[in-house]
Amino acid sequence: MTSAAMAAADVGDDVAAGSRHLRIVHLFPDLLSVYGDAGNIQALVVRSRARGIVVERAVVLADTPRLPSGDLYVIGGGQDRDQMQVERSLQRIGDALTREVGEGAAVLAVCGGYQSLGVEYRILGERTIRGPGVLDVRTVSGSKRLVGPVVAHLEDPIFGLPGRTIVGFENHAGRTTIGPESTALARVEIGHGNDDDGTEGVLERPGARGLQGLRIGTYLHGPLLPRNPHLGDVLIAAGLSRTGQPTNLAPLDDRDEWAAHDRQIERCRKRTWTDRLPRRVRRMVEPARNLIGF
Amino acid sequence: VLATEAARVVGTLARLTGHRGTALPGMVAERIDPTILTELAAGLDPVIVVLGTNGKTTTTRLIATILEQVQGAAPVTNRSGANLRQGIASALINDPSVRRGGPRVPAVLEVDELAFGGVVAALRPRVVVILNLLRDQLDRYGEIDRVERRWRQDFARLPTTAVLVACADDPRLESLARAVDRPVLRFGLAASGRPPADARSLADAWAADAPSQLDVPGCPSCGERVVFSPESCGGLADWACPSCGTIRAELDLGVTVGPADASGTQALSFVGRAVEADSPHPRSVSIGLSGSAAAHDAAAAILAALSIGVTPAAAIAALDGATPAFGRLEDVAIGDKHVVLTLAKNPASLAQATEAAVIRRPDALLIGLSDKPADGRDVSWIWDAALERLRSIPSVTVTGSRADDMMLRFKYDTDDAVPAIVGRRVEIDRSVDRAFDASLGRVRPGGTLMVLATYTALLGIRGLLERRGAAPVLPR
Repeated sequence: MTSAAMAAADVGDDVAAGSRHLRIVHLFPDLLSVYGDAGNIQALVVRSRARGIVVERAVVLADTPRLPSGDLYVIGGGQDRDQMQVERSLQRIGDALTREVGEGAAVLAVCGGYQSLGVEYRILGERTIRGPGVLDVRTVSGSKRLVGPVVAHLEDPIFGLPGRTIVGFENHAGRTTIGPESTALARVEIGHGNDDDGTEGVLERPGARGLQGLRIGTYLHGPLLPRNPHLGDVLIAAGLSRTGQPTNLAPLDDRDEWAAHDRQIERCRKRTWTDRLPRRVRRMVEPARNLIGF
Repeated sequence: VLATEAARVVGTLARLTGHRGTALPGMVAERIDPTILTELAAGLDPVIVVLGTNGKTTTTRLIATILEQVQGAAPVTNRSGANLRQGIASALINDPSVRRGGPRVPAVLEVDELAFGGVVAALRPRVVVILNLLRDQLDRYGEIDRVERRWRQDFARLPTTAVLVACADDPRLESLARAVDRPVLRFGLAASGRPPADARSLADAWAADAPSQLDVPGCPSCGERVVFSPESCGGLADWACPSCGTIRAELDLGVTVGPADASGTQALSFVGRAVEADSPHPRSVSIGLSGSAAAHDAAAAILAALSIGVTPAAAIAALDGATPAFGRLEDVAIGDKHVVLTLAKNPASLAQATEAAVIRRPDALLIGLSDKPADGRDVSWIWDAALERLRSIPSVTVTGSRADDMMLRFKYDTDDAVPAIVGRRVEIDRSVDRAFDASLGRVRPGGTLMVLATYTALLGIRGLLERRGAAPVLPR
């Protein structure tokens, strides 16, 4: 099967309405970009341009003095040490980010960025990293890392897709608790999520203003958006709504995206023959199985 | 004795039944006799251990090549890349020269980053070569910083007579080298006649030339990000810290990369106090390894050999015409076509593979992406290396258990609204056999098929080549 053109989608309406604009700001790619996070930006840019939207990209580095105004801010994951440097940089631009979000900008925060934009991240035995509270979440480091593929189901009907799945890969030591006013992004079917409590990520949006000011925090990388095109489009629409532009997005040919998405779910749900063995026997068999692949 | 014999029987059985099972004999032997590794390792001297996220197998092979030429006998080594504790035990069990009470034999062993702590006491290495600490298999390691912390503890347990051979181009290793109370010999890219300058102006000049440098390690003195020279070798290079003014330590052995030809041979020349004692002139050698990272690997191998008493002239000459290790830009002839096999497992190795693709100008590219534990279950690293340089290859096929993810990687590899994929053919075929045949079918006589694959996908393709009688059998 060959891939069909995404750009084959009908963009005539968009052109007739005058071209729309989207300003995407990538926060700290020099500090937080260890999990293919560049792929999230790439997905947003390509999927926007395929709809005839004119995309402006900006990058904020560790030492960038001022935060540029944007419609959609994206921040990725990194190591604890890098997050300490992010904390310093956020002390400089955190207020400006809070202001942008208050004015309706959208946010996607993944893994380390999810923790860094929260209220605090307590690294036990080290210290507490304070965040700007753009997301109402608090994180404490745990002793065991939570690592592996994730399948989760979206909670909020805003997407028009309640129950739709999202897939990704998690790798974090932090245990995150979401604030009382916030909702989880999704309910975990396979994997750990926020704190092995069945929730994954956070979804925040101010009251009745539709998608304006939508903030998503999540532990899922992989990267997130190429394999979850529905989430990418929600973020593009949220970014457009900041400046009151129409948010309708012509459908694209996403067969490849959904093939990757569905295949991960299928592989995660498939039980191998060792899953049926008693736990003690399984622990003996699996090392050998992983080594020589029977 | 029982354990060794049982393990050898298991190893033979495994091979007869078609499994490679390089680690299985060691596993069986250790079950029967947990002290077997210590006992067998007592028959080794000197032991050279090779550590690092990228280049272990190639460097181990180069050191073994030097020792074999200089000493007339091949050292004990884990050529197949089985570098966990059981794999190392297997290598010792399988080598008939390792005998209790027999003469001590030299050994060159690559060791997995996290397995090192478990074998350091048994192996008592005289030389530890540390190549780099780049991002690799984060689903296993969690964070690179964690590996660095583990190594600090592990190195403290080295024999007091041990010597470290470390890459000075990796600032992370410099922090380690400073923390370890053992002599350190440093290799790196020779500074190409740069005038002495202060670190800040160097950093400014380099920062202006370099593309966006992501994932850059911190300075060993102050922790701020360093700036690399644009003349890099597998992502590492001469560096300077713009914040505190620290520059790279003085090299014992510097390497300069000469031109590479399309067959993959490149010229390397060596300078520095380690070779100048022998001769005041730079020494050169032509090796059959392409890719700038091979320069670091060759320098590491020479410095390791020098540290156990091999002369510079002999060590450098021994690398003449050295050939690649299994799946490291290995060139296999099949009929009138070439297949170049390359392991791609993390951003650095993927970047090296794309660099090689520019030199080899293949007609077709086959990418095998799998996510078994040996490959790393997290494949997000495919998004962390630039693939623009692959756009000129006429035909691309993706295969493996995560072929869908590779397909998306290509689909979104574009700066335009129209994905780059539209203008050319990227095919997806989950059957490795079919994907390989289709790809090879698109290669002209005399042309090259380039294969980039994760570990298990590469084994599958390698097995296919063996069944067709094209490749030499997997070295034991």
